[in-house]
Amino acid sequence: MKLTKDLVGASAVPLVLSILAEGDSYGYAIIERVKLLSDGKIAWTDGMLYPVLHRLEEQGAIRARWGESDAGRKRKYYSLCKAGKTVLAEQKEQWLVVQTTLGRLWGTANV
Amino acid sequence: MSDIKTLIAAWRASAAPLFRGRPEVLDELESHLWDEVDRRTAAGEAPAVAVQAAIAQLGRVEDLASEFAKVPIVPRPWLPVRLVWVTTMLLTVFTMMMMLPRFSKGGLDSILAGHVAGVMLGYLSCLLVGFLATCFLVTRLFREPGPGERATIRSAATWLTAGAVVLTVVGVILGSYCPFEKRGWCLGLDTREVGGVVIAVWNATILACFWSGRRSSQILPLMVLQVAGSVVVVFGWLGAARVENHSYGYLNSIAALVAFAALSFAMCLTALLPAGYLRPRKA
Repeated sequence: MKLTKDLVGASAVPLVLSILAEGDSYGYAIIERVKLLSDGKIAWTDGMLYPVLHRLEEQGAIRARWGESDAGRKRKYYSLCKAGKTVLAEQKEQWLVVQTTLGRLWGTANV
Repeated sequence: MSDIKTLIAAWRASAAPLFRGRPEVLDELESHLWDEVDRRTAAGEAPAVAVQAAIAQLGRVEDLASEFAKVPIVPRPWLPVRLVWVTTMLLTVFTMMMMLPRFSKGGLDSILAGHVAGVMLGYLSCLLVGFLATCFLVTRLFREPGPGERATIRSAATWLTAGAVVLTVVGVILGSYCPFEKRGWCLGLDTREVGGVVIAVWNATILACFWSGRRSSQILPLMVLQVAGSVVVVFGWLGAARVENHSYGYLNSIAALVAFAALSFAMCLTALLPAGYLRPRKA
């Protein structure tokens, strides 16, 4: 089972911010981490993550800096800013409301 | 390895027209491709196959470009820019207060006051842009300023340079009407006014550069020009005054002028270093 495009799109921001809350990271590693955590069920078109990262950077939620990979190549690293922590906290609340609501509905339906 | 480089370079060349003005996006996507190709070749895929698969997985460049087009480059506040705007306002108020008594006298005194106010504010605006450019170059040694910061710097530098051109031109024109102190060895102007013309021409040239590069996110060459512009202002203003035997104390001593030029030149040379050159490396 793969998630729908809309759901993947909606979950992109909380996923990215949550991963960056664990520590600095870069685009490729973020995609790999999401694949691993979702057992491959959340499949982004790789390139589509980058506009999300740039939008978050422009909003001041994350900060970017150029560094070097182990192979000595240029690589852009992202880290979570204070504003990003606030956004993440808000996103968590919102997703928990959705989760709780669906849980109640489906829990009742299952009974 | 050379196969991979060639294929990735070809992908980049094909994508470049769609990402005009955002080279850092292409750098980042290219970095992603390299990571994916490394993973695939390490798993035993042939280089050409790995590159094609990585490109396919990255997505169509047209789709990526249209997604990036939705991400506006919003100017972000930057402390040096704020400082420069506050200083500009204070200098304007101070100059106007200083010149007001002369303005109110009318006649030649008003023209003279207009001349002094125009060139002073014009020159100082240019020096403030030079300060901004220096802040940009110093920041760049530690980290690449973000697109939002670059947009803020570009906007402030453009407006201040435009103001500097207008004020300097007005100041020089008013100055050419003032008959006092006229020695007239060049175009009927004294050395200080020739300096003013040089500064106005330099600023107009920089403004034209800003205009022609307005669609590019790259501002490094413009910042180097602005630092060089500070040297032009210092020599056109304080240096020319020295030629006219008008001393501003140590400010226009030969040693101070040469030291300023040398420091500015050194600052311009830092543009040759990669961004983040002085950033502390993690062990």
